[in-house]
Amino acid sequence: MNEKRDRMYAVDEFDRLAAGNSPLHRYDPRAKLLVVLFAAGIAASYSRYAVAEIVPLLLLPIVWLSLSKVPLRFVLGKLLLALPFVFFMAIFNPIFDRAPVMDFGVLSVSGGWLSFTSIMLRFLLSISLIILLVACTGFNTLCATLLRLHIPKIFVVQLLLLYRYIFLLADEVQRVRQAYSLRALGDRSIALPVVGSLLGQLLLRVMDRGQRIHQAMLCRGFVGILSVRRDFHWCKRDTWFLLGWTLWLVLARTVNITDQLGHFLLKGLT
Amino acid sequence: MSHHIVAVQSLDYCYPDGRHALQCVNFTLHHGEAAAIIGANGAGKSTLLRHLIGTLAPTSGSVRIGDDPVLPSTLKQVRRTVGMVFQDADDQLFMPTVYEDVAFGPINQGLPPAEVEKRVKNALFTVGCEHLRDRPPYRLSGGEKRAVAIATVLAMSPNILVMDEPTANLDARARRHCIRLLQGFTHTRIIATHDLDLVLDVCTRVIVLHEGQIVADGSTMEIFRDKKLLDRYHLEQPLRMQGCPVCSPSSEPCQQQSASDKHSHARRP
Repeated sequence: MNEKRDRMYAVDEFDRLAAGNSPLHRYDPRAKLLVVLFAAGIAASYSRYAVAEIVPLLLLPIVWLSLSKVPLRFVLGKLLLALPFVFFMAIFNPIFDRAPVMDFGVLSVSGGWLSFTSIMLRFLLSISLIILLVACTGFNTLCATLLRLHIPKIFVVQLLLLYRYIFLLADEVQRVRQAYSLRALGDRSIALPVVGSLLGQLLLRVMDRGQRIHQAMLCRGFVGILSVRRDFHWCKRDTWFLLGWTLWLVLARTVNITDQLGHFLLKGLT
Repeated sequence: MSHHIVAVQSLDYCYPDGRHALQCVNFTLHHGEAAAIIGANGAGKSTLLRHLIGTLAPTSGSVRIGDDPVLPSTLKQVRRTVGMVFQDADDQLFMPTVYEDVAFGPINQGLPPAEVEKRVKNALFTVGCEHLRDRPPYRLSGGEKRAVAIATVLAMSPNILVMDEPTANLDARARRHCIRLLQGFTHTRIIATHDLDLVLDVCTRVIVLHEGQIVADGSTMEIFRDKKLLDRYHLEQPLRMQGCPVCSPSSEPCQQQSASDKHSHARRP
């Protein structure tokens, strides 16, 4: 049951991968985090119909993936987990925005489908980068990095505690589910009228535990600060890493690389 | 006055729903004393412990830790003096690694890094968990979690140790390890437990709570020999005092026991 729970939350795999040793693991977490944030910012800055312009940015996760020794299957699995949230947000675009903006002979593409593709590409870029970042840095080190970068402590504390207690939350969910299924005589789905009371139970248990943890923290002199001990060593290669990827992102933003490449290829062919 | 003394006087506590959890509780514990608080479920044991660390404030009466009454203004000093080990170790271990968890208290006490390091090392050494220092707490076994939870408290160098069910959910070996640890401490110890064999091994004094009131307070053997008293308050003698189930006349006769079956009573180390 534990294995099933671990698979469900994938935290275990992230921890295992973070303990690895690859070129990407060895870069300073601050450099990696800044590149990810900058890439997400650049991706968000494109117009809603931008598709071809965003494609060159995908070089970043592809290179990181090859540097990191993280299995492609793992990244794709996690992307699939997050996909429904973005998909159902983006799928409304083709419904509401039906005006054709592109013609390929007999085929015309509406603005909605273009913006849908654009959102999916941005999702692919940013989420795959975050997955690789956590897998090659470790969640706790990442939180320490956030503190170093002066992100408000209250947010970092929330993240740390969420990560620490996700196992116990999974356990609580599992126990409630098991107790239900044992008396529901093998019925796998939870009946709608019971869902409310189960969720209520879960909420009360979580609140109870939260209170106990807070008491334990107060007993040890907690005054709102969790100090996470991590030593960072910024070296020259971290500067090059940050500078190189920043330049690439700026270049991809200012020059339409796909367009240029297309022209170049067409010229070569003719 | 010593910081190791715990004095509870006329302590009353009513929960917001009107349930009277503690009524006129009085006792004083002296330096180095190991006392057990026993009683049936819902007798008020955990409520009493929470008053000792100031997470509950009395409806009336007072709790004194050494020279200080437990008040909002003295909580910092009280929590420096009293270390509490919670029933569920998962409530107590909230940091990413064992090291950071054990260092949490000393860091909050404002100790310099070298002293924090020393305290963590000593505390982990005392509970035999030095090898776990870089492990995340959620990866530990129940026994290891309990030992680390004790280390988190020891690192703060408290004078008084308060423990809520320290052997709950432990296997036999982890339980024995925990008992040996508790036997080795010289702190004033207050242990709320249902494990009466642990009480026999560790505590010299027993306080029996029933429906929020102290109904007996005496030496461990004096209380445990009084079967009627224990029975009245939903308790039993520790298993070790109940006699051998095979040869004791008071035990149920063994149906399948043949005359040739042999058994011996191993002497405890």
